[in-house]
Amino acid sequence: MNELIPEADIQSTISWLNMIKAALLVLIGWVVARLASRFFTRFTRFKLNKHQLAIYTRFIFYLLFSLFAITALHQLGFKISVLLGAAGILTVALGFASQTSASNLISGLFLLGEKPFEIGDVLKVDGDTGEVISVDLLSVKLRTFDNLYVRIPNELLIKSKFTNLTKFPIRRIDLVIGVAYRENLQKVIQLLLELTARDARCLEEPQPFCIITGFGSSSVDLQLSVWCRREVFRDLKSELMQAIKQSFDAHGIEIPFPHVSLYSGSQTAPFPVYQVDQPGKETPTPDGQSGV
Amino acid sequence: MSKAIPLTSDFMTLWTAQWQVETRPLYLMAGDLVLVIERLLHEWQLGYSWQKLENQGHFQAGFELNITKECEHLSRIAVECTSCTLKLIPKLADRPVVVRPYSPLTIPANNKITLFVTTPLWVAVCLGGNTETEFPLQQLSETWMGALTGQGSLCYGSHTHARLDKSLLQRLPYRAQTPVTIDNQSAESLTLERLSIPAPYLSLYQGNGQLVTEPLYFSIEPKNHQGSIRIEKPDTNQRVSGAREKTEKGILTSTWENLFA
Repeated sequence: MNELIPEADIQSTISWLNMIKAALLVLIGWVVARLASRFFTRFTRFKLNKHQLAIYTRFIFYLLFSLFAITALHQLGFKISVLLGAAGILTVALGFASQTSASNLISGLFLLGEKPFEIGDVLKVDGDTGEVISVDLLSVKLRTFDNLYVRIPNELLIKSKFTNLTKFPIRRIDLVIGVAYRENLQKVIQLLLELTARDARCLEEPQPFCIITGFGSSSVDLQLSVWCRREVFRDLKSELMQAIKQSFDAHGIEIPFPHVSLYSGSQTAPFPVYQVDQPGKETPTPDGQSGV
Repeated sequence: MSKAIPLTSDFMTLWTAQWQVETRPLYLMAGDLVLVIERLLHEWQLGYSWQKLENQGHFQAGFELNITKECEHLSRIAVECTSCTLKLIPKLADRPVVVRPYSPLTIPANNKITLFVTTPLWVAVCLGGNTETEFPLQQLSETWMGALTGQGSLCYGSHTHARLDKSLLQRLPYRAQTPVTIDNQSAESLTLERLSIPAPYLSLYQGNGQLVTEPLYFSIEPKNHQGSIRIEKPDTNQRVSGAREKTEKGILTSTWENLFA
């Protein structure tokens, strides 16, 4: 019995030593992986875009860290082959338990492969519009223009429709303008096209155009379409509308608001209308009575 | 101290002079640009605006110019201590320039022509050290060159008379002249409506009363819808400023729609 005690002590000592070694390996692995990914970022930041940089950096970190983690497990006496077998069973069990996460994970891989957007692009998803700040395995994070953080599961992006507003360098501004029925439409169209020709931000090609889209209830509706760089889209749209209003005012072109015509029928007398000159003063009515 | 007001005839004075800016501001009126450079103890103040003058633009610089109009924009550059010398360097556009002849030009099959086009200049104000700021001498509109709105490149748009006779050219000191040879190797005649000049790849040289660039040689092969531009050697060696971007062996290849239409 006495001989066994020292053996147990030795085993205990080795076990503690192995645990310390394993912990050190994990720690060193974390530091090495972090350093390697940082070096990679530093040397390739001008060659790769933000999106590629984020993916490769993460891949390098997890690859190195997993290698150190496996070595640490080996140090503790675990057999890797057994672990992998157990991991297989565990994966099946986890797969059932975490279907949503797995779906997001697979969707994330598809998104990485398809690359419909990159970090820095502006997306419009379900009423939220914002800049992509990260593309992770489970979700995509957006920062909206009013500075909100929106997390969108990858599965949603694969299943539903979203719009990438910054995929192409140029965009088209479509302005719907209504003018009164009495206006000379040729003159209006000429004025609108002259406005676009004066602004250097409006692209010459594809050419701006103006078409009549319909006869509305109160106005003749026109559509002015102008191409511009995507960076100036919002400012140009606003400034064009302002310029149109100023130009129409200067040329006496009416932008009508909804009109309602009251008609009392052909068999009835017209509606009596009374004019009030000044408030507080009595105005004579058609029947000779005084009214206010 | 250079106080001379360069005239159109001695336009190189503007680009070669070392300007000594003491207390009075330096005025530059070139093309449509009006630029006022003022030196303070720790900052440079650059006031600028553009007046649309089409082809009859200004070309003057000096300390005595009478500029009454207030500059619309002001750019302030803060430095530890301002030096009194500055230089003005002409540059070509930072994007390709799409030039449109005022009326389309037809080039018959298997024909080679040389036409002369001008593109607007930029002025780089070198304020000592690495401090440099640029202004276009004419405000250019933007345009898209490409078959589709998703494929192509953003360029500046400009118009040209596309003269075929060099003697008919009007010398405009705020524009650079580029001789362009178009070699239509196809069996069909081509109508030239617009032409993309790869300005960022070209250098500026001192020509005869005009800044010039290297000649360009466009060859058009419509069979595979590919066109190529060769940047040839210039007639003069007096380089005024270098190209913004470098190209391998001086050859640019692109789809036809991106170069020529």
